[in-house]
Amino acid sequence: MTHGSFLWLVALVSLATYATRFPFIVLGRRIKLTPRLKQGLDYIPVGVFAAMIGPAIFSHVNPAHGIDVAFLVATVLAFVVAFFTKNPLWTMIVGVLAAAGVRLL
Amino acid sequence: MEFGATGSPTSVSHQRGLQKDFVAALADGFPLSVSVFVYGVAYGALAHTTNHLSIVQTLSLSVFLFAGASQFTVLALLQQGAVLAVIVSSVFLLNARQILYGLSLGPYLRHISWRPLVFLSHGLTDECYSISIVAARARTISSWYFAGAGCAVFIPWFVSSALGYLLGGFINHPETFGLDFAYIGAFTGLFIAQWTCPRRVSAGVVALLGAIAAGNWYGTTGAVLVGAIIAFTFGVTAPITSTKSAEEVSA
Repeated sequence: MTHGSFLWLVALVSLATYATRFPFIVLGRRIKLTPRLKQGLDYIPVGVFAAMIGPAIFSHVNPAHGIDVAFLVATVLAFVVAFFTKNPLWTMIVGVLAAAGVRLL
Repeated sequence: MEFGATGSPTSVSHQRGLQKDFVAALADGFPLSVSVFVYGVAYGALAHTTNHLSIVQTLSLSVFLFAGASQFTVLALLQQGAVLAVIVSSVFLLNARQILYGLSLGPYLRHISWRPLVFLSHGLTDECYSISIVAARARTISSWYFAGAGCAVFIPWFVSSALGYLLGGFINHPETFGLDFAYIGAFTGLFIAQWTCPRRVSAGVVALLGAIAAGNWYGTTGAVLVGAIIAFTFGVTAPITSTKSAEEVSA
């Protein structure tokens, strides 16, 4: 790919992405919400966070493709730590150490 | 502590309060900053060793596109010799989930003028949304908080893209150090912190299963849309409670 066409590539993918950001934040500011709709929106983060981890965990712990034991141990420990501490930093530290530990053994 | 975002005089103490808000966002975002950093090193290394991009090309995507999964996709599609239109439409579809983030976060940003948002909205990513929405549900967030949430992702992403580029092939196996788990670890913490009542636990578990199924066929955007729709459904069908929601928090 030449320098000129790479410039176009950066410009267009960046614009396409910006188009999913600014206009909808501004639109979101204008939406008039009923209490019920508000409560629905209030639940969205739990669904988004589930989507951030679900497929990623499943790709490592899928009975059809073999189970990454280190990843499985890390996931279980992370859930336990998250449940008791509600702290993303501790959850991450324990998970990373667990995954590294099992792989080193 | 609550910060008024508009109308207050720009006194020294007000300014300090806003700066504190910026730092608070960086602190809240720290676990995600770490996971972004790990991911960015992989991006930079890949751009250098597999795609043979220049460092300016590599970093220009990190600055102007600024979307992790999309940047990896651009690299993969360039490698396959895909045409421009395919790359651009793939990136758009991949980032369509951010439409949902804007609509979900927007109601909490009513008190912020649209002008700074022209720039700050560029910082909206999975991680920035996560940091901001958690804070916004608890209290009023200022534009400085939103800026801090963007920087908590942008700074490690930019630095690690450059570092990964320079290190090139040295870090071939981040998984040896368990670093492939950083991203999931940080989001698991955020996920479970949302389990504040039995209904939210059910919403989370069902959304997790739905997201796994959808992710299998439609990738990240499919997973986010299905997860969000499931959670939203649990929310709208619940008995109305008096918890603080967007309208009151931003009022």
